[in-house]
Amino acid sequence: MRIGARGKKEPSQGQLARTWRSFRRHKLAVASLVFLVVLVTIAALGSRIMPCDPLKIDLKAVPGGKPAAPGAAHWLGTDEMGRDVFSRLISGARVSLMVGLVATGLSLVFGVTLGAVAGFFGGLASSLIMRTADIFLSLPRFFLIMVVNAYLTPSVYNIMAVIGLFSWMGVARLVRGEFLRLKEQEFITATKALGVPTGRVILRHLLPNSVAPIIVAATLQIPYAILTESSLSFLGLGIAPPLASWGSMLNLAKPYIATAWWLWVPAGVLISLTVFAFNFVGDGLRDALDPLQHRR
Amino acid sequence: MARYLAGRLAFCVVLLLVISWAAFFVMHLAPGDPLAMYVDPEKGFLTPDEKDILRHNLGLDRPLVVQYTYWLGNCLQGDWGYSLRSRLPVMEEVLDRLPNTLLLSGIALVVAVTLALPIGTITAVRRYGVIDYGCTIAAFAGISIPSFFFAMLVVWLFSVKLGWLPSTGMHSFAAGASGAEALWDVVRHLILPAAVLSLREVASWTRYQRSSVLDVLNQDYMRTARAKGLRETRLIVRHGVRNALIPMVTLAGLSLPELVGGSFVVETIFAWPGMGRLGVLAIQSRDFPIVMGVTMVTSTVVLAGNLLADILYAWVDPRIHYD
Amino acid sequence: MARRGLLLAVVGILVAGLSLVVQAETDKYGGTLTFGATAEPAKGFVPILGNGMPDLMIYQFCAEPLTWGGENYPSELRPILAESWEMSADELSWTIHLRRGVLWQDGQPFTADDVLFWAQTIQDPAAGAVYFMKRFYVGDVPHRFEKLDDYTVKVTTAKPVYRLMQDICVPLIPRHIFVDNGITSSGLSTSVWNTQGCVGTGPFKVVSYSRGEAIILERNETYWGGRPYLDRLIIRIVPDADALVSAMLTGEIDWARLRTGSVDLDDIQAASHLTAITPLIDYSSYVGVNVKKPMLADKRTRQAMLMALDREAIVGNLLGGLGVVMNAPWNQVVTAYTPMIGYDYNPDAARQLLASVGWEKGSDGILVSKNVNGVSPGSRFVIEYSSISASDNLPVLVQAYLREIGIDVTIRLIDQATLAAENDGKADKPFDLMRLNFGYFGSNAGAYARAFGTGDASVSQTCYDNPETARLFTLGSNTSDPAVADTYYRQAAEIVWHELPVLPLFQQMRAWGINKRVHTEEAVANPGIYSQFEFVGRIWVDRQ
Repeated sequence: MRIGARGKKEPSQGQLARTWRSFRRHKLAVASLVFLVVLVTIAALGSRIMPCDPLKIDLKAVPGGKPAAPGAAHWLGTDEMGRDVFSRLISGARVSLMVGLVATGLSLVFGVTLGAVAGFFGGLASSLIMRTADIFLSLPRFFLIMVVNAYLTPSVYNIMAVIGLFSWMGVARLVRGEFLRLKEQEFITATKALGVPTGRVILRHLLPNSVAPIIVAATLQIPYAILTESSLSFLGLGIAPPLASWGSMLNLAKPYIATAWWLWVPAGVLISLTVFAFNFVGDGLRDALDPLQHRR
Repeated sequence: MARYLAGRLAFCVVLLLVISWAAFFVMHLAPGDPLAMYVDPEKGFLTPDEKDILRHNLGLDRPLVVQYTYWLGNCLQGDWGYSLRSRLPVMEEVLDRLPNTLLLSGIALVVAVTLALPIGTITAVRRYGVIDYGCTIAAFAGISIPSFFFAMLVVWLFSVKLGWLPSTGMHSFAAGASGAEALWDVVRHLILPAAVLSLREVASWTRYQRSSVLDVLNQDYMRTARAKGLRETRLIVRHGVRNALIPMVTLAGLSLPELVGGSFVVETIFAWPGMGRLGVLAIQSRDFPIVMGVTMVTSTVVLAGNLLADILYAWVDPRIHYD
Repeated sequence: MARRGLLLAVVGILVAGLSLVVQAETDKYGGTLTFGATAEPAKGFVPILGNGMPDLMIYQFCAEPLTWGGENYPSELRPILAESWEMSADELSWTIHLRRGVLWQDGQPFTADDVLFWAQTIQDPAAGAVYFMKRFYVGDVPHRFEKLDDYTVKVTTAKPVYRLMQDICVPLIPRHIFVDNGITSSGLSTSVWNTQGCVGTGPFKVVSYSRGEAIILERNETYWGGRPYLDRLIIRIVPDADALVSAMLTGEIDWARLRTGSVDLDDIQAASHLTAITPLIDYSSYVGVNVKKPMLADKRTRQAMLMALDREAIVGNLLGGLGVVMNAPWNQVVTAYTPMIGYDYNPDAARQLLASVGWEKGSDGILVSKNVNGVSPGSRFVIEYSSISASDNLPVLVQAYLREIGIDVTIRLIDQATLAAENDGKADKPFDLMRLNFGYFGSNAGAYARAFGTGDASVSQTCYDNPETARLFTLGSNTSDPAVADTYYRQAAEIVWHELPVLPLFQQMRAWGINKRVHTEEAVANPGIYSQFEFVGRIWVDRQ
């Protein structure tokens, strides 16, 4: 059973409550959600709760360019230019989360549009779109992202766009499948018979009824985007200094693996935890929204 | 089957053509002058005169379409051109590194399968048990840890702290080591990158194996077999694992792009002399012929992997017929 | 009796001592020295094709030029394959007397035919000897090389070329190898001689090359300069700098270049079997400034920017002290170098200077144009720094210091190839600021013409096209006496130092890590590109 499968436009209050009850049973997912809420809050508050300016350079604190160890003045030490690592982690959270959310939003826009067109109209459009998706899926994606990146000046915006451009395929397939299934259902056939315009059918009837799987797919897409951004930044192809993302912090910390753990361990742990949390929330949502799949 | 195969092969060839065309134009139209990399970054620069000579010698002053036609024609005759940087034949450069990449990815694949199969099966059989929960969390962690961070962690632990394993390269400095010794040397260099590269696959395949074994366990014939009093372990091994192997084969094929993509990062971190590292360097230096070579070879490997997975799938599962 | 005994004892001691000396002398022969290199030869083994660090690293062992004296070698001219040379009275031709008895590493004699072949190949555009080709021409007219006899060559030039022997200091290539094997100019770079190893006249010969692994060289038994001490010389390719250092610590590598800064240096100095040498090298870093941009066009603005940079602190942080702050537009290797004054760190003076240009402080601390020439009033002082590496800290430091005086710098991450495509060869370059390094220009200030004295931004690395400096550089290059030429160059330096078309930051030191078992006492240190040694054949090692 899927929400709205019987023709309701919106999931009712009762269904939302049921979903929430079901989600709540997944303890790790709830813990992950709490973690993400805290993280997003911290990132949103940003400079208001940072102990220092993340860009503030203090060469006197780092004689000879050696990173300063954690202490009272800097809870997580400083980097080789005397910048506060803790504050940089917070500003890195902003970048990573923003890239994750916006890139996912873009991939949803592409994916839902193409999937909807393919699913609704079928025929040539459908096979064209689906073949393209096949091609994209069978390519070494990361390599292509690097090639395209060579085209563009690395910046947060370009990275979001490129990631979005290369990750619409899953959503498109999903939406097409949903549309194909829904199209055969009576209420859609009925609306069509009544002469409701195509756009309206898609926007008012088909899309709202496919929302549950899309939400799950989106939740699982975010960690992919975050990981891709951090990999690019790690290779020095990501965001430009002096801005920090967790990936670029790890990149800059490479010479200090042995000598300054505070430059790379916290950033790495944060990426891992965030991705972990999104994966778990996605998993919990899937279980909650799709009782048939639940706990087989 | 033969007709299906022919169709698939034709599609692959068309796809490769499209990829070559797209990659060629994207790379050449991208801003960036390959001659910039001709100068040692520590030493001065080329005058415009010197650049013109160089550009002509390298054939970079011809129209793009002509360049592509030349490239394609030569490529089909087995001549992939010369690297702009090293002036070595691209074929030689790429084929030199291909075995290293295949070795690393192959080992990672084998590690992933050998770990994922038993772990996935056990977690399915003992579902909702401590092992299951533990493995589930571990699998999620494995999917979540970025490969480069995991790489830094293992380097810190095994190379820096414990000093057990080398962290870069493929061979150590002991020149002229004997056969067995040299082999052991390569194995030692392989351990860390292979572990990092396979982590993601181990984690995600464990999950797939778990659910496909669960599927099989719930089938009617399994209930019948159980009712007939067959021993559980034997049952699971004979029916459960064998049937669950089928999706695993496809999965392996489908994971190839991920694995190849991962090898770009992992090879760069561990300085593994493979194609991924070659490709990353070539992109940065606008070494067009090498980028083309790497693109074509990786795409071919990935497509071939997918095709092989389909064929294996048909072979393992007699219910599937391709027409 | 006692006397005799004493005499015997003395003689005995003498003999023993002498035999020890002889022992020590012969003991220098043998052993292997292992170099570590982070990059492979990029252009290959034919020495007329390459001019970068990784390539030169190999040429120095196996190939030799006519003279040492160009930018890769010591500044003063020294005879190598040429024994002597003289310029004709009309200044249009040179007679070069070649060293006799020199053999190529395959046993063939080195003669004037080799010199002619070498010069013709470099002059042939098809060969792709781009770094050196123009040095064998005056304008479009190639120098004419003629053979007077087997060991004498006459070179005729279209106009007087006073630094001919420095200009043509490119290692020689063997004619017989290429002619006998039918290798034409255009096939040079892809021939096995370039990709696998070339024959030279140097103290060591390349015996094998496995890509990504190592280049192995062995002693050239017939070397004209005396039998080299070492049996073998191995150049290990270790792309990872961390791996390089740990290999030095374990003793697997005897000699390697260390990273800038203190990252590696501390480890090396802490190890009892290693030592580090840190010579000042012919390599200096600048911030390139686009003087054509209205905001940066006023020289006072650029002076203020330089005063805003605490260059001492930058050297300490970025290089771990391995460098000196520049006090001239070129570094101390240049013979025309004279220290100049001004531009000490002084942000207050910088702010005043900017105010006098017509900038005033905006509400957010960023300067706003009040009446800056060419900048519309109300414009904020926002410029871009093109950086080619995300891990380069210099742009970040420059950004922070300039922010202090109200200049807002954005860092634009761009790869080197794109940066070059945007700027090189263009009179109208789009960059505002970028990192600029001038490395291995040599001791002749005339080489800096391409930065400060072209009078044409499209052929210059900077945007500077001052006709006055161009005139002075031309005067210098047309003067036969180097000392007189330097007076012109010094005048040009004064102008450049005052107008600051680039912001000179620091001259770098290079750190080498060396195993103490390596003895370099007899090999003369080379202040040129390698800061290694002139007589590599006289390096020897302790053996266990």
